[in-house]
Amino acid sequence: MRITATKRLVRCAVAAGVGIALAAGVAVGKAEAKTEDGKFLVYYSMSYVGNAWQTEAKNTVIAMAKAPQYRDRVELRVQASGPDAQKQIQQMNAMIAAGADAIVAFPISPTALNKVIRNACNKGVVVAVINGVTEPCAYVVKIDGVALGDYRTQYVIDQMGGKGNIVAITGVPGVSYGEDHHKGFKQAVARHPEVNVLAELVGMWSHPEARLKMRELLATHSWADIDGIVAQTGCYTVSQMQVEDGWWPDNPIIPCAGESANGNRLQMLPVDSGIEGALGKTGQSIGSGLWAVSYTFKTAMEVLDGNEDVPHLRWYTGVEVTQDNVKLCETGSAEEFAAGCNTIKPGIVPPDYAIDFWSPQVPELGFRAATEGMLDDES
Amino acid sequence: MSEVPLRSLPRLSWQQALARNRRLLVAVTAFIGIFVCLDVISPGPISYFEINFLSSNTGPLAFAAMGQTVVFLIGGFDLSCGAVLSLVNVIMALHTTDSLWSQVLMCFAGLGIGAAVGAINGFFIAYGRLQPVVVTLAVMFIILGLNLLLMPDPGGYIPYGLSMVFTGDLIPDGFPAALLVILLALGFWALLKRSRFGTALYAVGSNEDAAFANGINVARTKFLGYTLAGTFYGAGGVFLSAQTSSGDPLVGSGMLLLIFAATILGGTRIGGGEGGCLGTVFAAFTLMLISNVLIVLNWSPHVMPITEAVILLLAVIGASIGRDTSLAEYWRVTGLKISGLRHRSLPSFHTSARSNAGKLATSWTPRASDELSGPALWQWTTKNWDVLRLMVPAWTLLVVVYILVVVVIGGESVSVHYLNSLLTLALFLAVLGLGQGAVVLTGGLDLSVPHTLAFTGVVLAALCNGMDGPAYWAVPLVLAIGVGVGLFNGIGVVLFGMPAIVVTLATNGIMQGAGLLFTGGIPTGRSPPALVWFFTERLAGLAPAAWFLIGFAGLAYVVLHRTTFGRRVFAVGNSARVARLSGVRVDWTTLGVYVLSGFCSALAGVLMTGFSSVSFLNMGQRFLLPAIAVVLVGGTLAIGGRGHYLGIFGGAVLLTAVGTLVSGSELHFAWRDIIFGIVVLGAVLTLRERAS
Repeated sequence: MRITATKRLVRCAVAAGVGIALAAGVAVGKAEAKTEDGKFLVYYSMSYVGNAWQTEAKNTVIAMAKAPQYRDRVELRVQASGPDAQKQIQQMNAMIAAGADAIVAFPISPTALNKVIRNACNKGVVVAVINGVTEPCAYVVKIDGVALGDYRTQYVIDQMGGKGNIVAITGVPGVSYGEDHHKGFKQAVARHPEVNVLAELVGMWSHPEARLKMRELLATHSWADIDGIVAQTGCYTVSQMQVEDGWWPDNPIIPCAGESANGNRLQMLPVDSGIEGALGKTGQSIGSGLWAVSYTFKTAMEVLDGNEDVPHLRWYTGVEVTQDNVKLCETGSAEEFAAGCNTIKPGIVPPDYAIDFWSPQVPELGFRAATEGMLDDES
Repeated sequence: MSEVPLRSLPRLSWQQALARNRRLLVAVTAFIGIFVCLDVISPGPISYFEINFLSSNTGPLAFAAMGQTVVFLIGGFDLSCGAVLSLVNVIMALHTTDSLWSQVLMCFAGLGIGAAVGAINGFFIAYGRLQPVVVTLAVMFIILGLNLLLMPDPGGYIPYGLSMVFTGDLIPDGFPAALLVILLALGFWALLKRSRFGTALYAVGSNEDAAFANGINVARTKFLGYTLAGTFYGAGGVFLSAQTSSGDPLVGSGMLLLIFAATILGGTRIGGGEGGCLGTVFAAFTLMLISNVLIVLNWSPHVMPITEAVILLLAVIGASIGRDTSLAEYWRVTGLKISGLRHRSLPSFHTSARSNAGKLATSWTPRASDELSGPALWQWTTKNWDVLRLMVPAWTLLVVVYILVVVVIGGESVSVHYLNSLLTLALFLAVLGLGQGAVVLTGGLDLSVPHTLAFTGVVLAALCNGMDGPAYWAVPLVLAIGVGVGLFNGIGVVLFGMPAIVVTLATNGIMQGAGLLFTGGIPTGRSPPALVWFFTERLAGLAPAAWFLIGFAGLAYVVLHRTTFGRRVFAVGNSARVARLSGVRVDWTTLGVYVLSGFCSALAGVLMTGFSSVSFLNMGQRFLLPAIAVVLVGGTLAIGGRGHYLGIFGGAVLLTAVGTLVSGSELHFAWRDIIFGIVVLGAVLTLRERAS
C-alpha cells in the first residue's frame, strides 16, 4: 500500500513536471502583437452575459468598431467571463497573451482586476475600463454615482414638494456604483428633514426583482403611502404596477427618477398621444451610460492612435429626459437622436431596453447599433 | 529497514493501479490535453510569465476546491465556501497594515477565520447531526449578510509585500511563488492523507458504519474534516486577498459553481470515500485554462455557458468510463431482456377479480383506538405526530414573523390584501418547492431550476408577444420543454449514473446558453394578457394566482402523499436498495422526480412571465437557493425519505413573510440574508431527529 502510494505521488509529480517543463521549454518571447493584416487587435471583455443591457453594450461596441474611422484599422473580438472575477482576470491575461493592442473591459470588481491591468500596462497594452477600477494606469470612463443619486433624488423631492415618503430601489449590494448612488440618495434626503425614507429595496438592477421587492413592500403599505421613488432600475416597472393595481388613472403616477428604459420614457408621453404605454407621468430618466461603453472603446482607440493627452479618468453624465423633453423617434437613426429624439416606439424593443446608446460623444450610433451591432448605413 | 512488516499487501498490477487512479488520471489527462491544445492553437509559445500568472490566478480556486474536496470525501457538501472566501478577503483588506507583524498575523487570522467557520459547520453537522446542505446553506446566508455589513462596497488594501509572497517569483523567470504555495499545500495534504486522520476521512466517507465498527470516531472525524476544509477556504481567502490586493464582499460568491466544478472534475466522488486534492488542483488549472482556449477560438460569448457545461459533462463521463457504469449495466440488462424474449411465456391477461367486488370497501369512519384516550383531536395529533412535527417549525415561525410584521410595520398587515400579497408572492417558491422537494426526497438536488425557468419564460413571451391566442399552444409547449429538461436530467442521473449536482449544473449552463441563443441576448415579447390578469384581478378579495396556489398546494399534497408515485418517491429516498428489492422501479421513479422538477420550473417560468408581464434572462437566479431553503425549512431531510408538502408550503409562505418584514421595515438589507440563514438553521434544529 505504502509503496504504491509513494509511487503514485511520484508519478503525479512527474506528470506535473511534464506540464511545467512543457511550459518552460516554450518560454520564448512573444512576437510583436498585431493581427496578421496589420490591424489593431482590440478585445472587449464583458463580464455577465444574460441581461439585455450587457447585450446592448456588446452590440454598441461592435457597431462602433465598424465606424468609418476604425473600420479598416481595428479587429474587435468579444469575450465573456461569467460572474467570477478570477475568470475575468484569467481571460484578460489570455487576451494579453493573444497579442491584444487594447482591452476594453466591463469589470466584475473594481479592485480585483488591478493586477492584471497593471500587467497589461507594463506590456504596452492599453486598458480602458467602464465604470472604474482603482488601478491608475487604466483609462477609466466613469459616471459619478454619488452625484447622479443626489441629482435624481433632488428631482423627486422637488416633485414631492419637499416633504413626504420616499422609496429607494437600490442596485446589487456590494457593487461600488450602486453603493455610491445610494450615498447620493441619502445625502439628498438628509438635506430635507421633512422627507421620510419609507423603504430601501434591493432592486439588483433588475426589473423582475424590483417588482418582487415592491410587492413585498406593498403587502404592508399602499400606493397612497408613497410620494416619490428613486430607482437605480425599476421606474418603468413600478409605474406599470400602479396601472395594474388601478391606482392610475384616478391618481397621478408617483414621480420616479431612474433608469433609461424605453418603457420608462414612453410612460412620460401624454396619454392623448395614442402611444401604447403612454401615461403622461411625471418622471426623470437618466441612463447610467450605455453609450459610455462605446465611448470607452473610442478612448482606447485615441490612446492607440498616439494621443498622449487622453486623461486617465473621464467623468461622464447621462442625458436627462423628463416629461418636458421626451420625444418619440421615427426611425431611430443616429441623426434623429442628434436632432433630439430619445424614445423608440413601443413593440420594437422590450420596455426594459436601455435607450441611452446615443450621446454627442458617440454620434455614430443609432438604434440599430444597440439591437444588431450595425451602423445606420450598413446593409 | 530491519523491521519486518507484519503483513505485506500484494503489489497491484499496472492495470489495477490504473483502474484505481482512473479518476485522477482523467483530471491529469484533461489538464495536459488542454495545455497542449492551447500551446498548439495559440499564435505564440506559452511564456514563463503566463505560467506565473496562471498559478497565482488559480491559487484561490485551487485552495477553495481542496477544502471542498475534503468535504466531499467525508460525504458532505459545502455551500458556504464562496462566502468564507469573501469573508476572509474582506477582513484582511480592512485590517492588514504595512508592518510585517500585521501581515503575518492577518494571514494566520485568515486561516483561523476559515477554520472557525468550518468548525461551526462541522459542529452542527457532526455533533448536531444536521444535514450538510442545510447547515452550510444557512451559514452561507449569514456570512453573505455579514460581509455586506463589514464592507458595503469594494475597497480596502493589502500590502504589496504580502501580495508578492503569494504571487511573485521564487526564482525570477524560473519558478512562480504561487506554484510553490500550491505544492506546499499538496505536500501537506499528501502527509495528512497518509496519517491516521487521513485514513479516517476516507473510511468515514466510504462507509460510516464500517468506520464506526472499526473504532473510528465518526463525529470527531467529520468535525475535524469540516474544520480542515474551512482552513483551506481560509487559505484560499488569504491567497485571493494577496492576488487582488484589495477587498470585495461579492468576490467569492461567483466562484461557488467553479469550486464545485473543480472538485468534481478533479475526480472526487460526491458521496465520499474516493478522490483527493491532487486531482482537484489539476482540475482547477484546467478550468482556468478553458478561458484561454476560448479566447483563441474566439467563439461567441453566448456559447460560453454551453461550452463549460459540455466540458463538465464530458469530464464526469470520462471519469466513470468502464465496465461497471450504469450505462453498461443498462445495456447488459436490456440485452438480457431481448434475448430472453424468445423463452418467455405469453403474458396472461388477468380479468378483474370479480370475486372481491364489494368486499373491499374503504371505511371512512375513524376507527376507535384501543390505546389512546381523550379528545378526538388529541388522538389524531398523537397518531400523526411524526408527520405534524415536520410542519410545526415552519408554521410556528410563520406566526412569529407575522406578529412581528403587525407589530413593527403595522400598516395594512391585518387585511385580506396582505394575505393576497403573501400568497401571490409565495406562489413561485411553492411551485418550485414541489419539484425541488420531490428531487430532494429521493436524495438528489436540482440546480437547473434558474435557467430552465428563465428559458421557458422568454420563449413564452416571445411566442405570445402580448396576445392570448398563441398562449393556448405556447403554454403547453413551454411546459413540455420543462418536462424535456427534466427528462434530460433524469436520464443523466439514472442511465449514466452521474451525480445529480453535476448533471443539473450542466443543464443549467446549457439552458442559459439556449436562452442567449434563442433571444440573441435581448428577450422580446410580452406575456399573454390572461397571465397578467391572473395576478391583477381579484376574485372574492384574492387574485386568481392566490386561489391557484391553494389549489396547487392541494394537488401537490395528493401527488406526494396520496399516489403510488408519491409513495415510491419516499421509498426510494429512504433506501434505493430496499425500494428496488420491494419491487419499486427506482429508475422510473427517479426519472419521474426530475421530470416533475423540470415541469415545476417551467410552470414557475410561465407564472413569473405573467407576474412581470415581460420576461428576462436572469429572472430565475434569485429563486434557486430560496427554493432549496424552503424545502429544507419545510422539514424535508436532505438525504431523502422524509418530508411533507404542507411543510414545504409553510416554508414558502414563511420566507415570503420574512421578505415583507425586511422590505417593509427599516432593517438594513444585509439582515435579510442573515435572518434567512437563522430561520433555516433554527427550523432545522428543531426538526432534528433525537439521537437514539
